[in-house]
Amino acid sequence: MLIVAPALLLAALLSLMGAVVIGLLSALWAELQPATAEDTGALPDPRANASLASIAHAAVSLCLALLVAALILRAVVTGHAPWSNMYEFNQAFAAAILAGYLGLERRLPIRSLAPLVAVPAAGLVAYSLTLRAEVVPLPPALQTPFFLTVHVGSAMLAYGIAAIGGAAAVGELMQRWRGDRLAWLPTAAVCRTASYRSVMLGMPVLTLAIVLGAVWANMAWRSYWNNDPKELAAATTWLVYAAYLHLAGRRDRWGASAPWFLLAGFGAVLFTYLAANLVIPGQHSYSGI
Amino acid sequence: MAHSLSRSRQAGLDRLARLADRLLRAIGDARLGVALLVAAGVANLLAAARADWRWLLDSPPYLTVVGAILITGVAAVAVRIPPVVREWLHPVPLANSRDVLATDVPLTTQLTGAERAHMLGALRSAGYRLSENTTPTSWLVAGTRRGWSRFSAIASHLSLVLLVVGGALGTAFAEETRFGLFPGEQSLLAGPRPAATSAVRFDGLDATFDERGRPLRFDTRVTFIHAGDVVRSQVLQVNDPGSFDGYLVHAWTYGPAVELRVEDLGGRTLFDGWVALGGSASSSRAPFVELPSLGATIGVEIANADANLARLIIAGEHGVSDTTVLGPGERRRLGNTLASLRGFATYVTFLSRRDPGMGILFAGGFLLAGSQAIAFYLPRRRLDLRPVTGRLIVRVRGERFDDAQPELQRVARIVERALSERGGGG
Ligand code: HEM
Repeated sequence: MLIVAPALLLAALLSLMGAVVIGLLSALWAELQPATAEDTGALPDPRANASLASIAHAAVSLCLALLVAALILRAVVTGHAPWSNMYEFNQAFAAAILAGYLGLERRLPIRSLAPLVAVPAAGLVAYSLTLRAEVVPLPPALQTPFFLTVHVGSAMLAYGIAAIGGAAAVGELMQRWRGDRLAWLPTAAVCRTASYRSVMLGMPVLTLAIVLGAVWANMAWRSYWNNDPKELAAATTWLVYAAYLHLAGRRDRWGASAPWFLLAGFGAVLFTYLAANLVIPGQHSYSGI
Repeated sequence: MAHSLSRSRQAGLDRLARLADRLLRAIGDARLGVALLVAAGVANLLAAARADWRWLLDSPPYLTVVGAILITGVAAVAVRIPPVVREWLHPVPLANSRDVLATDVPLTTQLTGAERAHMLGALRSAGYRLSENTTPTSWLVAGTRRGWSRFSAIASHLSLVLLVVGGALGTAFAEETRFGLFPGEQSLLAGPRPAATSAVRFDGLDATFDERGRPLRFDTRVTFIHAGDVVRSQVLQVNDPGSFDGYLVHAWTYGPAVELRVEDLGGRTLFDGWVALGGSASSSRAPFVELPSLGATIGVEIANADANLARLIIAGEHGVSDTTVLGPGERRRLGNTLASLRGFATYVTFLSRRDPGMGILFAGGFLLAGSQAIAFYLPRRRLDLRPVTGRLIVRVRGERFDDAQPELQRVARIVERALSERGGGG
């Protein structure tokens, strides 16, 4: 455990960084192509981009396998779901991002989003590597396996899916800005579909996480709602996505603002995840830091 | 005359209905919903970021926004319920749009009645509710699968009613009682009132700590009592309260206590019982013993936790008059009294709470999550079929951003198989 877990995490980080670098190369390659094409009259070669995207995709898949192995190992050692403190959350969150991406990628041509998706996942894995991996006993309030597994697990899953929405929103905004000419990204329409689907997938899970959190709080903290910073931040996140759902299908100016809502939504996720755990004191201070 | 009167009344009613419909549509405009949801989101964000802005969430403007979300959300679905029911019961052909996917199934002959019936039977077994539109020159079928899925979007909005009503009932009528108990003591679950006969007795606390003194478990043993009769015993834990007679009973705070006996110098008992030490702010027990007959108060604190020593301080009108340190089983003079420390124990502050809105609120929460899952994971599918010379046009439509291509292929396969079974297909 002492060596295996950091080794797995390091390998996961390296494969994610590989995906990011490949993404950058792919963008650079595609940016250089039109100039050559203009000079020679040849069309840019889409196969080069596709194969770079496939390598990034493979790196992301490898990273998910490594993270899942690290999480299983952690669960075996600690005897509970591997998301009870920040060290564990970070890895689970990163795994949820990658799983969400791979799930959506099976239905949509979004392989070239892999490097964008790898950025937040790499940040989380790197952050996890800076934290203490020591196994400490669960505080009494977390000793309910069902709620720890399902409430926190569904929040992680929803956060991971929100990251895909954020990455696809970045893609859509960049494509809109460049008139859909960025060959290293999916088209704006595909990005838009991917982000809507990610919210469709994630919103019920986020709602369930909040409702189960309320049931748990009612048992552990006497009241289902305590205006705790994390609860309020989660409510903010949920309201942003509820607003997004009512905008995304519109073809007017309101609809055009939808990607900004996705960025705000992912910003709210990070606020809920980081600020309400680390900066603002509250009842949810289980970060273990 | 009467005829024209009733006609004008009918026209008036129609106008009123149209006006109401327009009003509901204006109130239920999704853009208004978005604006309200964003306003609520901003308020929550500010309250999350700064504790001194949490008052925002109790302020009239915020409550107005919540009320408006409820009203506009319900209005939005109220106008949609009739068409959703209509479309579910009687599927209609698809309007042309770029979201409609189409394919052809070749036909070798004109479809006979039996072939049509067989094909519709196959589609029905695949989950489609169908309606046929037959004229002497044309035949058109429209169908819906999982038409009920549209009701779940309606249920999502209606669940807001449950959430708000449940929350409001809780705010108005929830009751909460706190009491501190020493082992063996009991208390009513609600404040004193004639009909309140449910009680809890504190039987003991088993706390476990790790080697660094971090708490691992607090097991609070209690017995619930109704009208003087013991009903059951239970172990409460930090996140596992007891549920009794509509109350949730939490073991809320824990603290050390001493069992003390105080006599005057003539041997008359002045106090014999438990004293809580240093209790938390929420404890209803203070670490003092009042001795009115002597005009004195004894304060108790832990002198040395490792050696199990307590310090007793007696104070009267003129300030502190004496102090002493006692271990378990010791008896010493303290001012004009004799104090004996029988031993250490723990006391627990309990919290019993009843919230009549809680069930409604949780029902709303689960309905909200469940209805969204149905709306998004099991979307409605619609189709229409139209024979033209030599082929059958099959069209399918999914929901927004939905990929209906697999469904189109599935439907085309079902139709082809049904036709080939009957010999109509090509
Ligand atoms: C606060 C919580 C709310 C939730 C959870 C919610 C949820 C939903 C869901 C799940 C859908 C179905 C989307 C689809 O099938 O693609 C929907 C549609 C809709 N909602 Fe809401 N809603 C909320 C508030 C509101 C409010 C306040 C309004 C007020 C106007 C509103 C108006 C509409 C309308 C008009 C539609 C159908 C058209 C559209 O999707 O744009 N909703 N809502």
